[in-house]
Amino acid sequence: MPSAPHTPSSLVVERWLGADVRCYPDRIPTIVEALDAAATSFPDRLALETPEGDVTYGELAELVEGTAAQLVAAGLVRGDRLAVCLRNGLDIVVAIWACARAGLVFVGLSTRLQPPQWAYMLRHSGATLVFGHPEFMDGLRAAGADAGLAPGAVRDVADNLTGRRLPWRGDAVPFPDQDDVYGVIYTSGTTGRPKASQVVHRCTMHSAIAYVRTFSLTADDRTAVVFPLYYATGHIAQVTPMMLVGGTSVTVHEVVPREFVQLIGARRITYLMVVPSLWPLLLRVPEFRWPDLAHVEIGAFGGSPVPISTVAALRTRMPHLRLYDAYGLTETHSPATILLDSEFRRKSGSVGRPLPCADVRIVDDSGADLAVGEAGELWIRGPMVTSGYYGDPDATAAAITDGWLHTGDLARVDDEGYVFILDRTKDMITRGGFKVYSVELEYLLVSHPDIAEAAVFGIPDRLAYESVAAYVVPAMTRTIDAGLVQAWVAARMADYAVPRHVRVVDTIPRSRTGKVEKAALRDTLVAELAATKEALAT
Amino acid sequence: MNDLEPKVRGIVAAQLDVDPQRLLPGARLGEDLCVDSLSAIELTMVLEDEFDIALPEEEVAEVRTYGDVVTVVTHHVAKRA
Repeated sequence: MPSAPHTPSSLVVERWLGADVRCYPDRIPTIVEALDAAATSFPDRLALETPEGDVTYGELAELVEGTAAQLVAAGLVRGDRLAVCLRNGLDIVVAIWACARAGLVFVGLSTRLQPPQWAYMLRHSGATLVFGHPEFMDGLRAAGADAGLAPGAVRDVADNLTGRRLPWRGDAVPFPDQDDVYGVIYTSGTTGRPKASQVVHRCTMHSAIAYVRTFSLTADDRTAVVFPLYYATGHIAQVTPMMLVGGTSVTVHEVVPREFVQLIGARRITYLMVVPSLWPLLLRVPEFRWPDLAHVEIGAFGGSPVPISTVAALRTRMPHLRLYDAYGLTETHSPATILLDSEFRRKSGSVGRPLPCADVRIVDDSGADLAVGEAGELWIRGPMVTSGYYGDPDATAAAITDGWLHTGDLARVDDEGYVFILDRTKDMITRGGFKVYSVELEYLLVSHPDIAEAAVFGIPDRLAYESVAAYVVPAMTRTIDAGLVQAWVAARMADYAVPRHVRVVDTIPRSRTGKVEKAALRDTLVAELAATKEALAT
Repeated sequence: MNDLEPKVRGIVAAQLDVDPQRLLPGARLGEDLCVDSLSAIELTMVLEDEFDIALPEEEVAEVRTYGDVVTVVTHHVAKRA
């Protein structure tokens, strides 16, 4: 694949979500055809290095063919949903591609969640079969029972996804349509319930091509997949681009900084894509340095800013590293804008310019365009924007109008077209790369019999970008303390969602219109914590 | 507990934003104090800064309770002296 960057004028106009959008010409249209091309063009190149073993593209295609046939034999038919709760590795890659091959929909269950959240996702998605790694099976069985699934429908993955190989049959099995949905990713939601963003071939392929071209990826590239593959980044920004060029993806279960640095060296990783909070931790490992790791050429991140001091430290320790800040949402299948290495100094604080196939607008509350430099909500349009939320037409209609995705993020665009994110979605807290929706957490808190009101928000955190804070008002005649609040959440949500800061108060301040004054609460708490630390220091 | 413990307690309580009374020797960082992996790393960094010590990753990985925190900090402060 040529790696010269596209320009908007070299693209072709196609219809998507009722709008004209610019698309990459002569592209591979689906992830199944991407595997077909890889298995045909470079069958012996290494596709994956995983704890379960290494596989070439030819072997991966055979595994996908065998598993797809097995799923069909198990009674799943086109459009059915297969849920998996798997750590990064061979099983989950095969699951994603086998679902696409068989016309099924892949439902990724985060391994960090708790049974009540899994149960909701199983119910909502209508999954008929669930595979999980053994350590999650107790919780998955409970979730499956809660969701009304028969006990036999929730299975230890064992060799269910890697135990059968069949010769790849290419187009003898009809390829999916590029606008088919092959997965859903739960993004949590502002209404208190997670939303299932649809994963579409057209969108994934545009994002993957954008990564290949922007990062100049080649067959010699090797990427370490740290992002959980049940989310967008791992399979869209890493495994699929590697498949397009014949590179190798090395899956990583869990990141322990020193071990990860050793893996980067031992596996000759060239392309790193990690959450911003990981860079300072890698910098604490003395071996993370040039020239020992001179093979690492690409350092990408996204989701929250990397402090200038960290960028400066990276420039010193890894002077050859090309840095990229990619901004996107699950709903944009990863990137919508990318800040290039050469732009970091000149456009500090920006997330870059839109991809050649993306359009952006900054609008006011009524949806009217604002002038250059003015702050408003960022809207994005292009072939990478999801076709909607599974089973939720109201949420889809509210989030996407005339092809424009309403991101909820406050941003401005300068006179050269660079996007600056001023505030992430008001109701979303970013903790180390994981997203916590304050409304979802507030719903959970007030479901506790002793809590009458709750307000959740994020406060700055030097490593994780934000920490979760919760103010709660006890129900009448009841008492509650911080430990009980934390335990209530810990039993029901992921560990990163448990509020680090809990305050039990008599009332929560509200505006005259009844809106919780979170900004005031945030300011108060930040000042209080700073005073505590200052007192400690003196 | 030892002479260093009150200072460790103050730092841990401030960093984790917990009532110092919850910092019993057997209090488990994950289950009882709801410390996630990022909070644990941050706490390590703060303790290293405050006591001017370096806590090896492999020792930190073995820390389960508040009592373990005090023990590992005390050990490295003594070693530095």
